[in-house]
Amino acid sequence: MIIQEFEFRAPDKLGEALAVLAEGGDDIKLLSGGMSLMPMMALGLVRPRMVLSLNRIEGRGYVRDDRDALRVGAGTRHYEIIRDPLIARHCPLLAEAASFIGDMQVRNRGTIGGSLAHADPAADYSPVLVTVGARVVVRSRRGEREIAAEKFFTGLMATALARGEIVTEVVVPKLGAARGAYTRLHRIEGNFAIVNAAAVLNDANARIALGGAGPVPIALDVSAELSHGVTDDALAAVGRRVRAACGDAPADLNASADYRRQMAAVYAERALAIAAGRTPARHAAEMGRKAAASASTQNKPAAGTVGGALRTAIAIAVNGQPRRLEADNRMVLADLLRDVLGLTGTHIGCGTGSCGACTVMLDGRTVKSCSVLAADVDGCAVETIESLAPDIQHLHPLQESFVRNHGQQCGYCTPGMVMSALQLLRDNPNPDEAAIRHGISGNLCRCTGYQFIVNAISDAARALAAGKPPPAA
Amino acid sequence: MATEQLHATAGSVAPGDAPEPRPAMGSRVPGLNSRVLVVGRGTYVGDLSLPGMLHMALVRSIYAHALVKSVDASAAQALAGVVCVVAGDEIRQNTKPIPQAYTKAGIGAHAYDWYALAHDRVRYVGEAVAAVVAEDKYTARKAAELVEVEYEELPVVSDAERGMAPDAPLIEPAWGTNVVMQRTTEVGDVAGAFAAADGVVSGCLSTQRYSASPMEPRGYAAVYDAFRDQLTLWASTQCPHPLRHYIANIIGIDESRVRVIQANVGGAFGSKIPTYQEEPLVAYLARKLKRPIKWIEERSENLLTGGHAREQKVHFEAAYKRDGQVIGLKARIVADVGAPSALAGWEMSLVTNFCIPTVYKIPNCRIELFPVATNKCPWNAYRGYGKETASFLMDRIMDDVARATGIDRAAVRMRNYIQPHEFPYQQVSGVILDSGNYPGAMRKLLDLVGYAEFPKLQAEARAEGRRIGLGLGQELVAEGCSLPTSLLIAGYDGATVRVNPSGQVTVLTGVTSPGSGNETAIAQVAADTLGVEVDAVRVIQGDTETCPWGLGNYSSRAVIMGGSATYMAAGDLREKILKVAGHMFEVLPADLECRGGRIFPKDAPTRYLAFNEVVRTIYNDTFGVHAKEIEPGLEATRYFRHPNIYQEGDPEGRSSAYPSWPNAVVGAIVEVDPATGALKLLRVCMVHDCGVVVNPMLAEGNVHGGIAQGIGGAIYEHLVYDENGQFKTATFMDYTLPTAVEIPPLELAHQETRSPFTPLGTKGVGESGVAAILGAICSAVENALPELDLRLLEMPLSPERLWRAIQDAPRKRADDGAGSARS
Repeated sequence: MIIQEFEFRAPDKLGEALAVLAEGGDDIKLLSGGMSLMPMMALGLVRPRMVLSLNRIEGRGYVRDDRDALRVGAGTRHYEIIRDPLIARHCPLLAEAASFIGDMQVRNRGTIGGSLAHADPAADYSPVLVTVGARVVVRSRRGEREIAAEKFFTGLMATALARGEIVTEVVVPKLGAARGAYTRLHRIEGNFAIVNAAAVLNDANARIALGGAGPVPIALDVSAELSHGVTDDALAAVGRRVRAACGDAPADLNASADYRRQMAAVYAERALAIAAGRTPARHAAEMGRKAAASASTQNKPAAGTVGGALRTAIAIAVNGQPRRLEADNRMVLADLLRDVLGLTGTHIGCGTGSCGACTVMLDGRTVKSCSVLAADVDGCAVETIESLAPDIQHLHPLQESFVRNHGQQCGYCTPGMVMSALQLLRDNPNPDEAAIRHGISGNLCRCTGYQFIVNAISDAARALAAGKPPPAA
Repeated sequence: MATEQLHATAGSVAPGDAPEPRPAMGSRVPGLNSRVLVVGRGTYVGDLSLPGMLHMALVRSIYAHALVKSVDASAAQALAGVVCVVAGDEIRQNTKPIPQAYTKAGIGAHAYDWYALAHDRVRYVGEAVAAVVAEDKYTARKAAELVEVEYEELPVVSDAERGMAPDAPLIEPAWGTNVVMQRTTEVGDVAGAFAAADGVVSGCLSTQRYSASPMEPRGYAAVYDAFRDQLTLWASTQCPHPLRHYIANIIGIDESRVRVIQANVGGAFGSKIPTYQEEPLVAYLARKLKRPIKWIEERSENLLTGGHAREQKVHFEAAYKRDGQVIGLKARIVADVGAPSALAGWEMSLVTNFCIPTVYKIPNCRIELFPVATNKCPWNAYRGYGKETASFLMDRIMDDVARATGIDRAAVRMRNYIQPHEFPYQQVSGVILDSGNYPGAMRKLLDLVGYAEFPKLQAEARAEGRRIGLGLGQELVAEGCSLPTSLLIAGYDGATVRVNPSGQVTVLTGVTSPGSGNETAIAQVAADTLGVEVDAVRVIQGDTETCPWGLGNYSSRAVIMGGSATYMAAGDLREKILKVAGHMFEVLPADLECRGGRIFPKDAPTRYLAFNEVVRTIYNDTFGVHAKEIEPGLEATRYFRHPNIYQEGDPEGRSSAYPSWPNAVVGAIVEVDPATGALKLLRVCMVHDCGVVVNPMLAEGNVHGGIAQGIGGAIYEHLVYDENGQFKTATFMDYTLPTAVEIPPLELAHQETRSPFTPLGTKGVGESGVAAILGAICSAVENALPELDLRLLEMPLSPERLWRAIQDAPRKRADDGAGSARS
């Protein structure tokens, strides 16, 4: 729960946002996807005076072809990167990296610009952007500049962004004849990587970058090591260089510094082997974990109150009904639905975007409503579990399938799980078991062991594909 | 009434056109509450909103061990919207300590007076020091941060074995020790067995601290009606009736003036059995302020203070014969049970002790137990309740013996099993195992998992550069716990069954459901006993004002105790109904059958009376010819007392607190990445035996969940403290529960051996699955890397831990057995 009041601004022009940023004084946090910011605020680790949302600015999400590069708008959400045909053709490892980020709900909301500005040392995009030689375009009222990705990350969660600057675009060079790969080690699907690695190579050159193994991505040119091809000996030589380069690997609950260094070498070799076509890519199939904040903060609330308005007027459509409301800025969408609108089918299981019990549709895609500010959904359409069944006799086919397959026990995760399943089937009407498991990885269930949930979704998919709803339980 | 007239009113069918009604028991009946839950219309405590409702937040200790010198609430109280702040002194003066689950002195254990707030000393990070009540939840939380507590730090005990040292700081100085109790069980001639052995395997098993983590954190809401002197508490609890008694005693109000209502519970797994600090706090404050109050736990609070479990070390030695028979066992259990409290937690280590040596006949055993208090969150009940460590220990020993003797892992287990004809079997701790067919279950499992064919698969995988392994695990799960002198934990429960004048059935139970669905099984029992369809049965649970006294939900007791009580109460009504029907048919009641809403002579099923018609006769014609000989009304309350509980002790002084012994055997197939230590589970197969299965679908769902929690404990979940007792894992980003990706396809088969002690032969299923998977995963990893002398005794198998174990494991010589064989 966010307990410290803050001002909320959501201008609809970039120029206005830049003006607020320039004139608004210290302690402003930019909100793009908010997938890291919101949990940090909920845990009290970040207590900004003002949150400046970029979500109402039109046209921040795009992928454009620009001669030998792609121009990716900073507001492009991860799921858009995963499905973009230009990225698939010219820099598929960027999409591969995006597919590992968090879970479906996080990928629906999080943005590439937000991820870059947040600069988590184990972020998925960073090693890819560093390896391919991407450039980060940033704007302030003083104008625009480009920063090489390699120079953009300056320290632990620190970037080259100057005061008043906002990331607006990422310029991603096309791979052309080069081949690339991205892979990572993690403990649990959805958590940050323990280490991650990107590799790009062509006949003459080879570059790799490692994430999670130091405060910033570690980029290495390994052309010399691979000058006689991607052989076992060459990979071993790369591994030795990586171990030597990762002297600053961090230690945390997931992994010691030594293990991270060793794994950086293993994953550097693996990324190169995948890029060279020696081993197939393995989409989101390894292990991992997140270096994240502990709840035991000793930050005290600021003594003074903030100057501006602490409430925000919003107009939204909830399950098709238009609503005009005023929300306390601290209120997350889940609280708005539950406490203000009485839609208690949306549950809160963690409040930090980890469990998915609060999953709802926001403008047609699932988000975790504990990780979206109510103030930030002005003009949006929200669909909750309550929208799916008009009464107990007429359940949605997915719900009917959950009942028949016993896909719920205590029912607490169930509404969120059903919403995620709905998103999954809209995106992929014929998912196999692995796709179902990947699709619901943002929704924790403690009762069912997931087996009957997987069965229920699979059963519903078959029935829906055959054009008839599953029989009532 | 003549038979012809009966047909005229009740209808008849030609032979063959009446579908034989299927019995409800044994059928995959969908959960009675599933439709409501799947549309999001469950009502959890967090969903409640009452007019004028206030919100509570807690000030929690930031130190693991400290004196509380002062609590200054002035800044908090100055905040607009804050209604009051209470600290430990007020609670100490106005309330009593939270009652212990049972009298500890009887087993020589130390007890502790735990109040709803700490007043002079805090003993773990997160212990509640003060409570803040405010008009909204944001203000309550904000004000809680503004309460200034002055502490004086005390030395910290952060490790159980260090806490046993003579110079260790004392957590409860009055105890003079940190050891909660000490128990030694010795049976047979242990020294003789070790002297006669062909070899000995030994080691130290270590399981980490982890937690139940239900998806719904705890939550309580209370309202006090001063004009009627009535306190109503809605609680996410497993045990409403005992909670009512405890609340009444803690805050000093007549028990009859307290109503506890169990809202929908979003999972519990044992963690919502006992009374925590927050229930009496919410009740006390609602009465004091005369306004409704709600407290909803944050996830970080649940991880910090919602009860921990499992952190144990077991030092063991096992003596074996060359043929694989284990003839002697020494085990020394040291449990890191956290700070003393009233939670029903440290007793889990006692159950580890009770269960050893699980499904095996080992005549000579010495088991020592040391539960040790530390400055960490108190242990609290969690699915498995100590049984998992006993099973895990025996699995590791069996694999060690297999390795040492060169005998197959399954064969070693077969060699040592208690045999099916030996039940009821008194195990070394004195507990009496009710029934089982361990060899039968193992044979089924070997078939299901493809044990014989696995080496071929393994070789094929290896040729592709993949390292896969198959492991075996076995569990024995003590259920139906009953402790002497306990109001909360006892081996009985009650049910009321009502048939209304329309012929519909309502069952009110003393057992409750934490979301696992036992109400459906209970409806099936009632339906079959009365011969009606399940749809005609409603089950009401968890309201002390309407349901009969009962102990709620724990120890997989809902179907064992509540199902049996329902069977008995429904049986009483059936008897009355058949008596009246017999009169109407002019046949003996014993010659009647009731099924599918019809009552008919056994030898003439096509002549029938509708169940409703007989019921109507009982209600509408109470003084009429058919019903005048029975007592009016169709309502019965019965209590079932489990007969396999022995409190007094046998000649050796051993009692038996657990009457019911479901069991299971697991085969797990894993893929290991030796370069990283990463594990992927490919398949988990389990054959489980919970006696008669009332609803296979719900039973399987339960077991799936148990297996997934076991997998979480084996690989992913770990609550971490540093040496200062500071907690490091307060979010799901750090305490990582497995997602659908980490859990593999789960395959189950049933082995059904009836319990001879329950009327329906049921044994309980709520905790099955969590234990056997631990050993199975370790066994599978070792099997995947046969070239290494890898022996996994430390959990969880995080990638780094496994990678280091792989780095450190000696490479096997071709002729080498287990390291410690001494034949």
